Amino acid sequence: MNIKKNIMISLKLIVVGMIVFSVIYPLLLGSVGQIWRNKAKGSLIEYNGEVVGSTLIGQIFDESQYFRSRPSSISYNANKSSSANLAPNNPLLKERIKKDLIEINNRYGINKESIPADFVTESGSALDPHISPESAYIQVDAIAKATGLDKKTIEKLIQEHTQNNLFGIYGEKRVNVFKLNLSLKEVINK
Amino acid sequence: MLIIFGLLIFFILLAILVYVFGEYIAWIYKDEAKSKSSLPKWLKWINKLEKPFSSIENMIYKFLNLNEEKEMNWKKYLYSLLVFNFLLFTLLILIFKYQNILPFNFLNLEGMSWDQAFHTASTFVTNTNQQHYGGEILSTFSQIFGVGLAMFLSAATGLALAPAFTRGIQNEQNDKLGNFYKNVIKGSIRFLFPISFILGLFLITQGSPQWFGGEIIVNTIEGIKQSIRIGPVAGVEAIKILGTNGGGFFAANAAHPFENPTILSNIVLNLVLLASPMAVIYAFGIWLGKRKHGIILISALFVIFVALLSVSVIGELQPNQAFATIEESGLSVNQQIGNMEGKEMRFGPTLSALWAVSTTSTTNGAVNSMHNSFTAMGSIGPFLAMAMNCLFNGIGVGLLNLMTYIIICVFIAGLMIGRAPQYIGKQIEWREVKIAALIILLLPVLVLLPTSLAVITKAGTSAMNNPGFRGFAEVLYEMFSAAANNGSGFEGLMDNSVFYNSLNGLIILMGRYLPIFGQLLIAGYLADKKIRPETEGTLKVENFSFLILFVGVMIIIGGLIFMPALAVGPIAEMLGGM
Repeated sequence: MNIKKNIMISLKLIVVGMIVFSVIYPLLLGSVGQIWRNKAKGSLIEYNGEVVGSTLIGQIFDESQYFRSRPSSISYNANKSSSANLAPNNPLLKERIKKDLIEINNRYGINKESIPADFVTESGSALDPHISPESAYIQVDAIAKATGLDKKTIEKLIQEHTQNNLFGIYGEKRVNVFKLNLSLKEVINK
Repeated sequence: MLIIFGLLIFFILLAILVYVFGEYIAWIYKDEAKSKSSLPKWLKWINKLEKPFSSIENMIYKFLNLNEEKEMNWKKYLYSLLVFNFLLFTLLILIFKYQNILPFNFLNLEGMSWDQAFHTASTFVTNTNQQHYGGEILSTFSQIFGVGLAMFLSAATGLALAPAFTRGIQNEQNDKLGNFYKNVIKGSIRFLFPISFILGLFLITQGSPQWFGGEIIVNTIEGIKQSIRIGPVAGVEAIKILGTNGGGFFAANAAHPFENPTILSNIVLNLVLLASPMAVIYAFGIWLGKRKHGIILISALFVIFVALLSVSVIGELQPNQAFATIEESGLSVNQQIGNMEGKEMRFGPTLSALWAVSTTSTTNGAVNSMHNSFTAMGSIGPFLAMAMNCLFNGIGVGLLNLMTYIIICVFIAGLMIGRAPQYIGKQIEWREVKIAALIILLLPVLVLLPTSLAVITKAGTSAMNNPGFRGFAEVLYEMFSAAANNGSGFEGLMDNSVFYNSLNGLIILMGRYLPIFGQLLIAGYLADKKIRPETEGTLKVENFSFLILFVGVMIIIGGLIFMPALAVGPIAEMLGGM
């Protein structure tokens, strides 16, 4: 066993690895990926000539004319990610849910049993752009009131933005809150 | 019903993918593993790839000044592996420590502390990818020259072990197992690079970015400044899933919309995640000229996988217990969908549980939901899957771990029928059984001793994120994840401390290299032996009774060792503790 020879071969192999996997691979992928330029750049969307966000990353919505997103411990600031990792037995989780529920009840004044679970739980990434269609529908009354828009118009917007699950068997039905609010903004500004 | 139907379709797709990957891997190493069968007719066209691939490889051999035909015995093979991995390990520490002065640091990020750099380097060089940091603190340089490079090379290291071990069975009194460097190069050029590239392109079409920049600042619809971290995500994501690596580009791992943007991307990633280690086991059967044996081995593992999966899916379709007390106060929530805490809306509970059990049955460790927010019942699947450490496991090393159990299984069978134990023409003697038993006993030592240490010290317990049994479970999971080279976590545990970084780093290194040492030693012993003809009394490895026997051995040996510890964790929590 010649240690010098082994070290030389290993070092050279690491250099080859760097050239192939750290230079050629990402650059080649990035170049071919230019076919889907917008997606490779983060699926950004412009509104009035200004970038307002990525369709894949959720945003925080506080103003009463917009649909709200799911709770997020990082307030949808996407320089971080990941939830607070609270277990079902954690008192902090109970407190958070209770606080949110009381606020939702005050704001929307709705039948308590119809609050969907996703609307008061934090997503794994804490950047989830989606809510369930049910979570969107419970907000319709309040948004109609705040914007002066017809309820039917708002419901139609939700319908347009509802995405089905895959092949009817995988995943869940959902609404992209970012895109929904962008359409809502367009309708309001008309 | 719909869930079962969906899972069935998933398994059918998985079987097809394992078949294709398996035939392909078997083709790559057909000479190195002295394969006894060749490509099926409809895949014969793969032979045409031989020329272009070998011309690339020959260029690399030349540059390395490597005599690729010179074969190594088990000692030299292990020695080359250790030298190669040690140099990579040193390089990684330096990259993570000094990323602040290296290029492509778009956001002026700081270097890691020494203890964190040690832990991070040990975890990536060993294909573990346990992260005590959020991916966002790494610069683009660290992501592609550190993490990305290690993901390819550690997976190639694992892959290179499969044909070497197979030689132990194929050789007749010849101690040569092959050339380590050649096997690494072939595996990465022929399998890891092209498949990752295709997978990466697919991810871009789904919305995963491949962009060289640090962050994008936008003014949101409400006019708030939002900073969005971005980078060459798709490429890292592809090799992370294919190479049973699992380390996230972002802290949220594959729950992050940039890593795993759609339901379709989730299904494809989940399929690839399972298929790559399974395919090596299938390829093993091909090399032996016994395709059916490979199928029997995979089926045995699959039986256990499905059992654990059912427990977890049912567990996650239950409501989250945190709501119970809230309902007493008059507020209520519709939890028909199941437990949604820590889960993405697009995936929901079923796909999250499927991923959780897949990522722990293999040693991938990527997550698409937060395991720490699982119900107690839901968390049993991932826990037990890691505890057994012998399900599909890592790419390449999965086969070696499986063989360790096979040796015990054949030994027990031999005792039962009163004959000298024999496996595919090789007699199994006390030396092999002794080493196999030691390898299996290593896992409890590496998990239970450090767990005890952590729960009796302040440094250990103060890191817990959740109270009660769950806090204990966090620590136990962390040690399992390190020792089994998995890398997933009950995240939230404040594990970026000198205590956890150094302890886990050491566990990870021992959990990777000690078993490899033992397994190559076994391969060396086996290679030296004569091949015995199969007779009436030989244990048949291609039938149903072997499957039953093997499942039984795995459950008794792999599963029951950890029952007491698990009883204090998730089981106690499930039975109504807190």
